[in-house]
Amino acid sequence: MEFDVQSLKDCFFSGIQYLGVTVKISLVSIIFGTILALIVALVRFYKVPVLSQLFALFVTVYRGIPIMLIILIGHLMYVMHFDTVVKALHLSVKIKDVDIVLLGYIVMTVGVIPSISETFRGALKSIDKTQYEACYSIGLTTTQSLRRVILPQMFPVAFPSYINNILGVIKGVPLLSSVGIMEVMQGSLLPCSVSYSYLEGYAAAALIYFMLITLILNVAKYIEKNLNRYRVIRKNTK
Amino acid sequence: MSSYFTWEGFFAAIPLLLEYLPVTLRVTFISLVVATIIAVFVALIRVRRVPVLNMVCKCYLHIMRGLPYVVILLLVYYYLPFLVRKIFAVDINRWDKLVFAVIAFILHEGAYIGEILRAAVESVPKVQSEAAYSVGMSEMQTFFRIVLPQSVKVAIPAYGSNLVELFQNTTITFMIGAMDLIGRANTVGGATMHYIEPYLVVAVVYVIISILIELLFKFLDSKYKFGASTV
Repeated sequence: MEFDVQSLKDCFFSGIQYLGVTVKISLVSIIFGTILALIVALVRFYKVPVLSQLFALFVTVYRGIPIMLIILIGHLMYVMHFDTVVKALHLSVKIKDVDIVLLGYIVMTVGVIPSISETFRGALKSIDKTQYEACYSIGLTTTQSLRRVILPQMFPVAFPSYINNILGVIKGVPLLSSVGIMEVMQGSLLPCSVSYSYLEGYAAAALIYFMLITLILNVAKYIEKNLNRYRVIRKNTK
Repeated sequence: MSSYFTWEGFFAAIPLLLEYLPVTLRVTFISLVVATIIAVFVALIRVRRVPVLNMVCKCYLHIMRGLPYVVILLLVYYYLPFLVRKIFAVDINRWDKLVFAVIAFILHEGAYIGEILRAAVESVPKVQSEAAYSVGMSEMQTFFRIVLPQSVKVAIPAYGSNLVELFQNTTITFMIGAMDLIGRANTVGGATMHYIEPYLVVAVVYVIISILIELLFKFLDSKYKFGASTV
């Protein structure tokens, strides 16, 4: 068994074609996950009676389940119950007409909520209590103070760990290949099934992921530099 | 399939699966210990800024941060036997699959824990070391008496969440078909044609142990206090 550069090249280009799927799953789950996580974080932060306890339970339990298991169980549920649910909604779709990627969207979206909501909650807590009081004292409503004062300050605080969460999502996507979703890793393994030499395929997948994540990290570094301008930074007293 | 989920199946799966819980715990523990040892060296090199090795460690960290766990695991699983045979002429194809999993976890966690330790050591203000030197402490004394106790305090929460993450990531040994908790769940599922019960058992086990680890580290964090106030 020798390392074949030509084969690596084939695998690389085959994998690149599926980059769109990985990016699409990541983007969809990050966008919806962020919105939902923000709601969860705000509900828990303001201690809305019943919902806050419910969300706390959900976050605690869900954080304890590995993403791999969520995918496996989600897949089983999806296969068994899809038709029933669709029939209940009076839609005329069958499971065989629907791309399995849909499962990827759902699983990853729900999967990122706990970690991102914890990030947001931590960031909300890091903002000085005096800021909230100042908002109320000049007569801003809760929504106004959130939108104009609290959230703009919260995002820069949350940003570094938010980026970590995003990386977590992207690194979680190849796990979806275990339920048959074609993404970068499976894509770069395609040419290998001819030669039975899988090494090049994994190396190519590693290369693509490495490039993607380096890109994201560099963009994140650039954004982080420009983010801190809205934030009130107290004088650092060591 | 008449009944999709049965409680009988759920309870029947518990003893079958719990047999393999020690395997998963052992994988986690061995990976954690060895990775921590590696991480200490990585952190040491990065804090002291050892010329060439610093760059090597930076590259190592960057690569490990850029690769998904699965890809590292599968690369180790498929590439390591090939590499070892080429260099040492030893055939390790027949080794237990868990060995490869442990190696992959060590590689990944070594970088992450190394970064946690480095951040913790560097979080102690430099003036403190300087103050220690000024009263005549040696470098060793300064590190062990002044810097280390304070940095441990900083490192505990991050180390705990890292451990939880590592523990949860042991599920991806599923991808190489190793025989631990989730591999066993898969075989039990295959034998009974009911996959959901064993998977749910595994989920419950993981939830309980993850929460226990989190509580343990919260407890440690609250216990570990010094006279010096942080205000």
